[in-house]
Amino acid sequence: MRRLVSASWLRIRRRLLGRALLVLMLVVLAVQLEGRVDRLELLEAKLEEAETTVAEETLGQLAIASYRVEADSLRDNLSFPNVIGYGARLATDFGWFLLIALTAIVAGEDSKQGTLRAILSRGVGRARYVAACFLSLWLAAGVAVIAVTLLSAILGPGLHARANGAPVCLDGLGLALLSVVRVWFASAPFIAATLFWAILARSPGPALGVSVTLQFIGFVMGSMLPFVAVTGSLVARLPGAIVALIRLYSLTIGYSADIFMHWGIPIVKPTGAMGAIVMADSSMLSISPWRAIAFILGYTVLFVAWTSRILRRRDVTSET
Amino acid sequence: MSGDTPVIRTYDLTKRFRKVTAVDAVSFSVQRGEVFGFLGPNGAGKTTTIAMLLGLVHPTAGSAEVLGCDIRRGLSKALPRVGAIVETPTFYPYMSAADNLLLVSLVVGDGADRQIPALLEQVGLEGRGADKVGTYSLGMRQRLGLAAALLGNPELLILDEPTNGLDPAGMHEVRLLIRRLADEQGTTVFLSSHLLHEVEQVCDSVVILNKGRLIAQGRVDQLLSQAHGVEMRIDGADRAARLLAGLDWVSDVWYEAGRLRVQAPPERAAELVAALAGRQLFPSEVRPAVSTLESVFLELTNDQEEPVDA
Repeated sequence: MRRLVSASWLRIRRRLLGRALLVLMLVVLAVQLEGRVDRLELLEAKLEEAETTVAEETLGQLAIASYRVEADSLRDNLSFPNVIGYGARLATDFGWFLLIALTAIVAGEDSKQGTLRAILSRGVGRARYVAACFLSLWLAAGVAVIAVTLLSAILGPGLHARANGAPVCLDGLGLALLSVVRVWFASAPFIAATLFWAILARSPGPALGVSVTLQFIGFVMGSMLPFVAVTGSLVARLPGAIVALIRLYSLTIGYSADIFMHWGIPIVKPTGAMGAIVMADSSMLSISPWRAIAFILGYTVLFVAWTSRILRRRDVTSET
Repeated sequence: MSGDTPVIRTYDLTKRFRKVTAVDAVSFSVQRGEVFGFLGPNGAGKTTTIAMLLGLVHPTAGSAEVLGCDIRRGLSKALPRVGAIVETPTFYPYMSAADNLLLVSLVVGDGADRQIPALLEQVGLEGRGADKVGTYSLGMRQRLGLAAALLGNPELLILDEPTNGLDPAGMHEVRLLIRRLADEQGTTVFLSSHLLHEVEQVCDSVVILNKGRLIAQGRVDQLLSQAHGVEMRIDGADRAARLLAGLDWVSDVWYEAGRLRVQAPPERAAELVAALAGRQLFPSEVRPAVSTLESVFLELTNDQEEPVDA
């Protein structure tokens, strides 16, 4: 298996696309981190202004509370060494899309261009081929996570100085690194699911289309539904369709990954900041990290096993 | 596996794709150290048979053994000792030839990567190993495919149309290489081709497939000698044909394109003439009709219904 993973890893390394996607991710992350500092400065300005103008109104109080939660969270996240874990989590917003693209292309090309025949005809078992493909891509995700960690570590002291102002210390470095490992672990089901589509479709294109579309739908649902779930459960009875959507969202890979990556850390996204305040009160979305781990493992095993089964039963001819 | 055990043996191997029978109850065996030709027109089922032997396609019925291992159960033990080109060789175009071979050597193991420079030289790609495969011509890919198949010193080489895309000199080099591998290293070569002269030049034994069915098999020289004969111009061809057909060492007699064709050993032409002269029949021209594998092949694939064993 080690030799097979090495072989698969070799072709990922030699792909210019893989390196280009990694550089793109690092550039976008650097821009995002810079944007988060700007956002913190804006929130602090808003807070200062709001406290002097609308402090007496209820809605104003809620807005101020929301700003404060987001600002506190950003300040905490941008402090060194927390920023290391934060950078890794932040990178997943677009990193999942890039990982899906790489997986679809790498896993789909063997079927599309016929290299699968050459590999299998050397006595590589089909289940071993799928496992090696998965492991090498997970290794690639690990390398990307390390690169992101290094970037965050390099930019971290500067970000800390602007966001926090206090001297840099290394308290919490272990937790930050644990966050990084969680991000890597959470990447597994994304790879497994995309691998499944790539083998099923026998081509990178359709696999890329399906996987990116599903991830995008999950991303959009993730931006809105937690907010809807929380406010809906507080204010009024939600329509059945919305409840079904929320339940469906709680089953997605993206949701489990988010919950697991934020184990012990509040989920605060600008679009869902309001919902995040009272998210723990929502009964519709489970925030148990243990459930998230079970889902991540379950999806990974399910998709890898299913992919192996599909490939084992298939005739690998020039048409595949 | 003992030396006498065939390297490949198939028993009524059959593959159906929905309603189409691509391979229909094909049985043959390949002996160790021989160059075995696998002939057939396009669509005869050659590639499907090879794909079954390599575990790429699941047989519908029948069975086969490769290096003593059943293709349904133990093929993973045999295939590391098999090198193959199936259809057009495929590689990662964004990687160099040397890196593609390195990737295959990682799959093969046993330090196969040490062979890479020598193999590149052996197939005529020395100095081009660092070039990306995407820039290679079909002929160069074919050569690289051969190098990949040779990684790990396989006991059995299965080559599906290995000279496709090669220029005449390249074809000649590959044929020499195949013969050398069999003669000097004892490698068994299973060569699928539709190039009849190629098979005639390098193969010891041959199987001919047509429409998924095996229609002839045997040693190349025996197949050819069976098809050799004598042709003559003669007045009174009908009488002559009846007379010669009655000789017990003449297999067949027929009239074709103004000539009487007699399927009999060419070295017995004088006896044919003597028999005719005894009945006052005198041919104006007599000459040996030496068959090529091409004529045998065309005859079999056009006419033959029952399998022929040489």
